[in-house]
Amino acid sequence: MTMRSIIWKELRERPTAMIASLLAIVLSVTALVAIRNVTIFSEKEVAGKLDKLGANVLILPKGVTLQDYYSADMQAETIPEEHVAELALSGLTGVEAISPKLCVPITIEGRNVILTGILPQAEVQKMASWQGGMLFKKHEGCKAKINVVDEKSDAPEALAERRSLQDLGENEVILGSDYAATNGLAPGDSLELLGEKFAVLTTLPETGTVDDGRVFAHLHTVQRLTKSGEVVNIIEVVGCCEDVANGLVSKMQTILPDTKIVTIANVVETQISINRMMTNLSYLFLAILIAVGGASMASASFANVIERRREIGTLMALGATPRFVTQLFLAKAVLLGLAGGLTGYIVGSVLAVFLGPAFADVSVLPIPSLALVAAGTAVLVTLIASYFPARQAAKLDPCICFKEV
Amino acid sequence: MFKFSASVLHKRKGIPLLVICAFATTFTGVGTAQEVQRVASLSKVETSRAAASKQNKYTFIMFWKNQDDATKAMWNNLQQNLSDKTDKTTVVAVNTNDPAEANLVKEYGVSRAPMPLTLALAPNGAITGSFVKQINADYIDQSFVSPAKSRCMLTLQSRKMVLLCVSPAANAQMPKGVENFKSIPCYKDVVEVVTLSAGESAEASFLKELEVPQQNNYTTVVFMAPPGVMVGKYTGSVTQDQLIAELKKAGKSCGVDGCKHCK
Repeated sequence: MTMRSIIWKELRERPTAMIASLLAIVLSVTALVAIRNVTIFSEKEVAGKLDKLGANVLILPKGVTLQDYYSADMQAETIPEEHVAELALSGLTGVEAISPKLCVPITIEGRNVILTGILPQAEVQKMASWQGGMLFKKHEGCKAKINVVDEKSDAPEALAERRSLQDLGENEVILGSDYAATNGLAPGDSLELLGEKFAVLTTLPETGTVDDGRVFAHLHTVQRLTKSGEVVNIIEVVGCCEDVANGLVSKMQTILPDTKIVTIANVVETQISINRMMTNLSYLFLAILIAVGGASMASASFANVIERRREIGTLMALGATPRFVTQLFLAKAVLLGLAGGLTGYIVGSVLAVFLGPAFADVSVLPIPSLALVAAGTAVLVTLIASYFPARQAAKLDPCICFKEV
Repeated sequence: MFKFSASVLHKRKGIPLLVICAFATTFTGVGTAQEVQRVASLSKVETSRAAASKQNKYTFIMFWKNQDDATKAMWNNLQQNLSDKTDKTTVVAVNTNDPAEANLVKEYGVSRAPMPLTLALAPNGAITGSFVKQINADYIDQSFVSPAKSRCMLTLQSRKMVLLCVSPAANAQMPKGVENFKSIPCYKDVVEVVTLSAGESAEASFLKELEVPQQNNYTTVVFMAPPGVMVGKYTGSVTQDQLIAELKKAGKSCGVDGCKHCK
C-alpha cells in the first residue's frame, strides 16, 4: 500500500469526519474570497468614477452639500463667476484646469432638459498664462501641466472624458448622447433654445451618467438666456494631487473665503471607509473561521489518531517509520486544505458575483489570483491543525497499541 | 516732355513696366485703404495700444467697472509710478461696460474678471503682468521685461512651445537637435525658436532668472511649454530625441491622465 492509497481509503471510509473538517475550511475561505472580491471591485469602481470626474477639487456655494452636487449639480445657491478669474489670475501652482458650470432646468418642446453652461478652457488658460512668474519653474513630477495646442485634446468630444472643453462658440451647443438620440440631432444640425438658434457642434459619446441627457452651451450664453446673472453653480478644479495634498486647498480657500472647497478625498472618504471596514471585516471573519476551522480540524485529527491507533500500530509494526506516519497525516491535511481552499474560492466568487451588484452596487468578476491566496491559507491552516496530531501518531508505540487491542 | 518720356518708354519696352507699376499702385492703394479702414475701426484704447507698440512702448490698461475706492487707488498708483516713464509707457483706462471698447474686453476675456484689473502689455503684445484690485511700484517694475523674455511670453501665451537658444556669441548656429526638432511635422507649428547671445546686457536679468551663465563656451537650450513650464535645460549638445522624451514626460505630469499614483 502506498501513502496515496492509504489516504484515499481513510477519506472514503470516514466521509463524515472529512466533510465536517472540510466544511469549516470551505466556510472560512468562502467568506474571505467573497468579501475581498467585492472590496477590490468596489475600489476599482471608485477609481473609475474619479477618473470620469476629472476634477479633484470642487468649489461650491457655502450652503451647498455634496448631495446637491451629485444630484445633477443642481442647487439654488450660486457663486460669482468672478471667482474663476480670481483663481486663474492668482498664479497658484498646481491648478491645472478650472471648469465653472451653471445648470439650469429648461423645457424644450415639452421636455425637461438640463441646460449646462460651461466656460471654454481657452478663456481660462488665457488668464493663467499671464503669470510670468511660472515661466521659469522647472517641470518636476506633478508641479505643472503643459498645455500645447493639440487637435485631439482640443476636440469637443474631449468634453466627455475631460469634463472641460478648449473652445466653444457662443452660438454652439454640445448634446449628450441620450438627448441627441431622442431628438434625432447630429453634428451640424441646428437647435432652437429659449428663442435662439444654435448649431450642434458635436454629440457626446454615451457616458452612463446624467451628462447623457444634458445640453451644453457657452456659460455666458446660458447666463444671458436664463437671466441668471454672472454666476455659476460650481467650479470644478483639476488640481495637481501633490499640491492638493500640500496645502493648495487652504490657499484657494484664502482667495475665495465665501465658498466651500472640498476635495475628492472628502467626497470618496465615505466610500473608502466602507471599503476599509469591509476589508477589516473580511480579516476578522477569516481569523474567526480560521480559529474555528483550525480547532475543528485539529480535533478531528486528534480523534482520528485515537480511533486509528490499531492501524497506526500495525503500520509501524510492519516497518513504517514515524516520519512516514507524520507525512501520512500531513499529506491528508494538505489534500483537505487544497480541496477546501479551492471549493471556498469557487463558492466565494459565485457569491460575490451575485451579491456584489445587489449589496455594493458594483459588478464583480472572479479574481483568479484569489484562488492562490485561498488555497494557500487553507493548506497552511490544515497543516498547522494537523501537525500536533501527526506528531502524536508518529510517537505511538506499536507494542502498546497491540496490547490495548 | 510727355512725347519724350513715351518714346523712351516705348524704346525701352517700358509699357509693360508702366502697366506693372499701375497694378502695383492700385493694389498698394487697396492695401492702404484697408489699413485705413482697420485703423478707423479701432477704438480709442486700441489705437493707443497700436501707437504705443509702434513706438516700442509698454501699455498699461486698467479695466474697471465702478469708480470705487479700489479703482481710484489703482489709477492713482499707476499715474504716480509711471509719470517718470512716459517715454516708454502709455496708460489707459477701460470701462468694461463701454460698448466702444467691447472688442478689447472680449479680446482679453476680462468681462467677468475681478475689477479693477490692470494688464501690462509689452510692445510685442505679450502680457507681462496682471494685477487684480491692487498694484504697487514693485509690481509695475516687474512688468518691464527683456525683449527675449517678452517674445517667449507671447509665444507661450499663444499656446506654443519655446526653444530658447542662448549662444556664447552673436550669430552662432542653431543647435542641430533644435533644428531637427523644429522640422518634425507635428511640432513645427507649435514651437518657436528664440535665439539670443549670452553677452546681451539687456537680457542679463532674464538669463539670471533662467540660471543660464552669461560666460559659457557652449550654447544653452532652454525648453519651455505653455502656460509657462520649463520643460528642460541643456548645455552643450541636445538631440531631438532628448527634447521629445522630456516633452512626453512633461505631458504625462498630471490632470486627467496623470496623477493616478495619487489615487
